[in-house]
Amino acid sequence: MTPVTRGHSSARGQVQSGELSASRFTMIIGVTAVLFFLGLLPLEAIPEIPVDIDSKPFFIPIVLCALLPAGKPGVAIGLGVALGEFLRDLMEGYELDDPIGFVGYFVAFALTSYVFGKRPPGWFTITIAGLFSAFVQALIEASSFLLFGEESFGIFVQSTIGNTIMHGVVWGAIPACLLVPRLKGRFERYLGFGVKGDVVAAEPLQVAFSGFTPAPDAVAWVSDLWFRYPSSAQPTLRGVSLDLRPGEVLGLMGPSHAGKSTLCRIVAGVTPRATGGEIVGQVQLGSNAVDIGYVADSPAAMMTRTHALSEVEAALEHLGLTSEERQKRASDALTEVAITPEEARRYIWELPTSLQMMVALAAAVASRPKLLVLDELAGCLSASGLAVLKRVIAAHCETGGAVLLVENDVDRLWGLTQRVALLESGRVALIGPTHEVLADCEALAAPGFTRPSALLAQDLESWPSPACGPASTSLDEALLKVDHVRFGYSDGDDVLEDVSFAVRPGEVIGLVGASGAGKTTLAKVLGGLLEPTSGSLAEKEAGVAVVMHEPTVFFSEVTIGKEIASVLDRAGCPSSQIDTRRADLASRFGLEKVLESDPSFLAPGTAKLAHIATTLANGAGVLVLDEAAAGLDPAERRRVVEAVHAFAKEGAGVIALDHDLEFLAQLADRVSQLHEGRLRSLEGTSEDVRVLDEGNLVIPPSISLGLKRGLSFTSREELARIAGTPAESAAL
Amino acid sequence: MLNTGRPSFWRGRDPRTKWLIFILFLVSIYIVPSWEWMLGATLLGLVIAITARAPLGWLALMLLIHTPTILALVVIPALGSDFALNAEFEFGLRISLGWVAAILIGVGLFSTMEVDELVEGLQGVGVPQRFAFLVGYAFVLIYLSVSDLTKVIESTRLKGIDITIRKPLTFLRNVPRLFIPALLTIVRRGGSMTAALETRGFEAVPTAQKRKPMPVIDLCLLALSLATVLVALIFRMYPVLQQG
Repeated sequence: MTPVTRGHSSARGQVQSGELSASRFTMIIGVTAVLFFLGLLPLEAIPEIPVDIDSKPFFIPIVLCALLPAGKPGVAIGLGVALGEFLRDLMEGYELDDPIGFVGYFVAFALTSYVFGKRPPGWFTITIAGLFSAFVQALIEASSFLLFGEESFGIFVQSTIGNTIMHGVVWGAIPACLLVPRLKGRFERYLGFGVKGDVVAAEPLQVAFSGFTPAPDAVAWVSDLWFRYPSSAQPTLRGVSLDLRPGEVLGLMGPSHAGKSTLCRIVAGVTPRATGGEIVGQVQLGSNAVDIGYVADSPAAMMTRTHALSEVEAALEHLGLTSEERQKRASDALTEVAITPEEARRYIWELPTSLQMMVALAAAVASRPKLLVLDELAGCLSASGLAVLKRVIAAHCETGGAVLLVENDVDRLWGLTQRVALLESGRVALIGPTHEVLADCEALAAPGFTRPSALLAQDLESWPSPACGPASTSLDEALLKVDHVRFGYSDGDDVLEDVSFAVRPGEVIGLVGASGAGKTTLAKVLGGLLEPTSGSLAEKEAGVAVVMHEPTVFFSEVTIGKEIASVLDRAGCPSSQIDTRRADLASRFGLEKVLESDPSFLAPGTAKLAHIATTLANGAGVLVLDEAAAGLDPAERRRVVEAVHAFAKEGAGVIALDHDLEFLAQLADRVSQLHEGRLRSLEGTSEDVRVLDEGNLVIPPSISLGLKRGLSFTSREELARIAGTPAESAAL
Repeated sequence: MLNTGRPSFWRGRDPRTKWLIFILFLVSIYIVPSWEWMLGATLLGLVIAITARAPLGWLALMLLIHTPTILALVVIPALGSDFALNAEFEFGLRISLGWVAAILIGVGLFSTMEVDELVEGLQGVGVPQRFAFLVGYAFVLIYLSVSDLTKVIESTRLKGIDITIRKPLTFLRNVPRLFIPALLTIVRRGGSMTAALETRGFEAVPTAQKRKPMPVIDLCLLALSLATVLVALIFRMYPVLQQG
């Protein structure tokens, strides 16, 4: 038996600081331009005051100047505002004074940042900065009128004074003063800067030597690696050492906040250049520098071009290939990930997330890198997508390349990797061959992982016991009745063709469907965001609450505690009971320690738990969960299952829409398939599995295993009885 | 985006031609010597807008937005010379026609270009590749951000927060609850955006692109535009030179 290496902290090497690289400078320009442009759109509706006194969202660059440091960031803000205005003109048409106005925007905000950027962002500084930037910009822009002759001097003066007041005060200093306190500490961190005036009692990064020796032929390795983000007191990584060997897939697993994505970014050469921060230790990309293909966990944010083909071609621009060679290689890479020519011609933003993920994968492999870094992309893929991913990884390894694969699904790790590293609290807790690491019950139990189904499925017995069955069989008591609902978007066929079901008190219904099956559309219809084309929804008074699958867009308060309290208040909870109810919800979801935390900086899993807790606070009788399992680590999944069961036990109804059949089997009393706009009841038979497979759904090994033993997968009671044997494991 | 996708005379032109004509046209607006010249420029803009099959509804809306300015510049001075602006009618007419001409030419030409053509054209007229890339990249970011904003609005509605303007006071109270997550969602993309740029080789020097020659008809259009600007410049400068 090969010994499993236990990781421990150590460090060696030199400290680096993140500087404003060209890509980060560009990012600030891009973010500023987009914010300014989107701010311009609603203000366009306000009529101009003659002559040329208009409304512009100056508060956006003023907030950025107030929060970000002076110097290069200020230049980027100035360029970003000019670009935002330029884009507006490209979309709407040019005004007479715009060309000179661009120069005005750049000069005004670069100067404002230079003059005021070093000061703490108090209301007085913001007000003066607002007036100053607006005056400089208005002065330069209005000077374009002087080109028409001296008669325009009156217009020049009027426009300058009017716009200084309008841009600098009305749409500048006043909203900026309101926004800065609520955005301080958030914007800076997202853009990779420290908070002005904050003295962070940072835990020092250790410099030591662990004696880690990478394999001699390692494609890449990190040794004694410590890393801390700007504004963060605690290091995210604490002495990580591991190597990536040719022809090998190294799986990286771990709970939320373990540092998996940070490690990926460092190995990919993105951090700290892209994020800022302090780093200690060594990062080696083999004996020669290797190209790295990197796919982050949010594919849409990785897109830089308008079409799939140009996106992949962009990744080849630095290789010195001819245009024809680039096109050929990009087309081949897209074919490899099963993107059709028709899909490649569509705009990137029109493609569903799973296809955007595939485009990002194609861009990563097109340059034929030695190392692929894939950050948790398998979770959102359908069966066909997963098959493509497996094929791409196999092809890459055949050529001697290495893969670092972040994944928390032990079954997928079992099938895809040769070695696995378990990361906990920034440390490598365990690393070794996959079959040994994933067999280590003791090590896996602490972060909440079960062993893969292919080994033994007795862990399933520890899943939550069925706590709530249907409390009533009468449809009259249904909390929500969905009757022949049909819905289609204006630009296409019906997404929902004929959907009917009812949810009774105490019942948890699972609706499984692949990407594009209509799950999110159904969730929106149930939540009242979309009106059905035909059919009806009848709900009891308590109403329906929906948890959408992206928690990051949900929070508007500065702490989780305030967010929950605000929902309780709106739901009519007496103020004397708000604290008690909030504490109860927090304990159900294990959120006690993060109640005072900013929701913007929670790990995805914790944010999802907080989202569900907050949604439950509104006291609705029916809870709709859209892809609730996505992004959760095993312990968080259990918490969701337990909390949902407890909620149902209190007499509520739950509808869970997911592509994760195993999660639904744990959660729901009965499971139906949503396919091509219709519901189909599942009995949990082999025939059902065949149909689900045809519906492009991933069939988890635990379910295959259960079926082999004659067990249905549609009830958690039966699934909990599934217990495999080594012989069955071998058969799988 | 203004692009209509309709086939037209201007759709088939080289993007470099469209950018250069646009720039020359803007220059000409600043240098033409009188309102009669500006009327000519406006009519030329109208011809371009018609031959580009520009979106008429959009043109009308843009002109409507600027109606107060045009009224102030032309109509009010025409009614009485003691108006506060004290602008002369001729001057007001010249500047108003310039305003209309800029809108016509801008909407006309940009309604015939895809994002990739805009970027290609910018590179073709000598804008550094990184800056040209930024224009295209910003469009991608805008579309993705609009999608994010839609999700934020939906989340806000699901929370039971009223963000319709039927009740203005409630709307004003609730706007921050919409605004803060919207801002954060866009800024949150920053890290991934930089990561994408880094991994797409943004820091590396890109290979120089070989450009195809400009068609003869495009060259003729450019020569005509340049000649018009030069003639206008001569007429504008002639009195100054005479005085000198």
